[in-house]
Amino acid sequence: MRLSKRHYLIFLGPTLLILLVMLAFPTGYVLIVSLRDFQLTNPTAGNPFVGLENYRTLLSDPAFFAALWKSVLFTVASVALTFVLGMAIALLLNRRDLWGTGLTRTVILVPLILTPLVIGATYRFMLERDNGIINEILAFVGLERIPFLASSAWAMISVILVDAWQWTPFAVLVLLAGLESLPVEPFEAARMDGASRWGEFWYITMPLLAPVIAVVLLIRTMDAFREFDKIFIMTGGGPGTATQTLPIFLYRAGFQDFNMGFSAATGVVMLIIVTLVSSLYVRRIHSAGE
Amino acid sequence: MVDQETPEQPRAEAKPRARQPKRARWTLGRALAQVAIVILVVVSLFPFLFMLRVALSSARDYLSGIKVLSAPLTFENFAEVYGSTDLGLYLLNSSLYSVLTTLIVLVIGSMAGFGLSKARNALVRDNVMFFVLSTRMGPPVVFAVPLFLLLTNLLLVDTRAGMVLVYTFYNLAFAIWLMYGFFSEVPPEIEEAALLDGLSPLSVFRRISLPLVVPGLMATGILVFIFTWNEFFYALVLTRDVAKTFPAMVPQFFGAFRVDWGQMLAASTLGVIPPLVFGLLIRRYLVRGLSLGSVR
Repeated sequence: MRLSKRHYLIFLGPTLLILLVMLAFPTGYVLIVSLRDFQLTNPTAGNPFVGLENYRTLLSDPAFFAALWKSVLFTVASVALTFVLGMAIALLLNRRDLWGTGLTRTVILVPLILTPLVIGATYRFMLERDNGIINEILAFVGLERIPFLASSAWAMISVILVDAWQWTPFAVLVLLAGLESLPVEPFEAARMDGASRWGEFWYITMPLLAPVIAVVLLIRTMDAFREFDKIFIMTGGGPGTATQTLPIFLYRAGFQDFNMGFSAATGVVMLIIVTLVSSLYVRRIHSAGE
Repeated sequence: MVDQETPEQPRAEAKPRARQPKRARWTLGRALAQVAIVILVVVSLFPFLFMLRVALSSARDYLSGIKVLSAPLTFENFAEVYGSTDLGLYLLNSSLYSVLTTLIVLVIGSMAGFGLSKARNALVRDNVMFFVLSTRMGPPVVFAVPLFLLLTNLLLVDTRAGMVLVYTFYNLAFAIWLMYGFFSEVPPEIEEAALLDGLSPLSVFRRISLPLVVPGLMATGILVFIFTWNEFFYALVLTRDVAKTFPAMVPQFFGAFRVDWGQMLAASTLGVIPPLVFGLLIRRYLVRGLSLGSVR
């Protein structure tokens, strides 16, 4: 079915209008502001044009690289954990000899539906040193209390685990959909040849599932990289800067220090990173669709 | 086909349960797998049940350690949070935004998805899709400042209209992405035939294609509803008072010196019920949207 230009305009017009206003303007504005000395705390200064000064400041700021490193750490750890757990659980739920797999498929939707901010807030209480239920249980069985959110190393581990808790079900759903669409013939052939379960998994399941796996990894990477809500409410980036990932760094620069030029430059750098990764994603989808 | 299999439906090649051989031979592996399933259920539900338990306890009980699990039930947190905050208003705002945004996004998004699925020029189509997708990938934190200034200029900061506009933008890309896929699965012969019968492209869209993708509309709709309901960052930055949503009110329970956990979790309980009820009621569509949106 071929559409005329006029009809394309009718179908796509509203979308283009909204994206133009809500996307082109903000992106252009961020670019412009990133080239100016723009301090909300100093309105009389007149936001002079400073060229690439903000970028120079940013790229010589150790705090930026620290935040970038935290972001990479958080993203890699959360994505890896989500994927490994997600794969294990998907294989588990794909078995037909277990009781309760149907119910479990419904139950694992709960973490995906719950408001991320509420998840963060609830875990913050659960992980408290005193009165937090997890430490209370540890103490009850005679173990040492753990400073989940008070020590730098544990705070990072905690936010990663909570992120993985929320998103593992997503990996499970997508991988299960992939597992269920696999052809049966290769598995039958392998069984006839006497392949082990483990060999079957490595040499048949994994390669056949590769396109689905790639998509899970890329979507999760993108989402983890821009995660804000749970870290914001659990640690606020702390203690100190222990969990200060790029989005938190950006938020602090823009909305606590009101250094708009600097925060805009950070935003541009983040956009570049995200665009690079998402172009990878689209190419992947594209090649998978052919 | 449009109405494809969802994970809940049994696989085509799977044997019916009644014919399952050697019903229950308990090997060690199977027993361990069964234990893993139980642990999985407990871990998935624990935070929600804990939230409910604290919300229904008095402060004395939830601050006395493990005893909270067996404390007497009380609704005092709910009464207090309802009496002392504007929770009712915020829940109403959240409902309003979620419902309106879902409707608007479904209309605009299905039109765009339909139009794109008919594009012959792959280069144009892919570039538009990439453009559309980049709005989904863009971190909200990057766009917050310019959107704030944009809404200020339009006199829309802290207004309900402004928030519906922002949330429409926030969800549109994802909806187009999904609807594009659903429309691509409609057999072209049906549309061609309708066109030959003298229907205009708009009528083909409305009377032929759209009814065929109703399951897709449901899947997209439930996701948009949940995303809008749960959105926090824009609500935090773009609202102050009148237009505030439920997630944006949660931080106000975190005082400098103490946190009112009971009230916070009582408010949270009320706040997570709508998406939870909708999501679980039509979980078939939710699962389809989540898994298909990424696999294709």
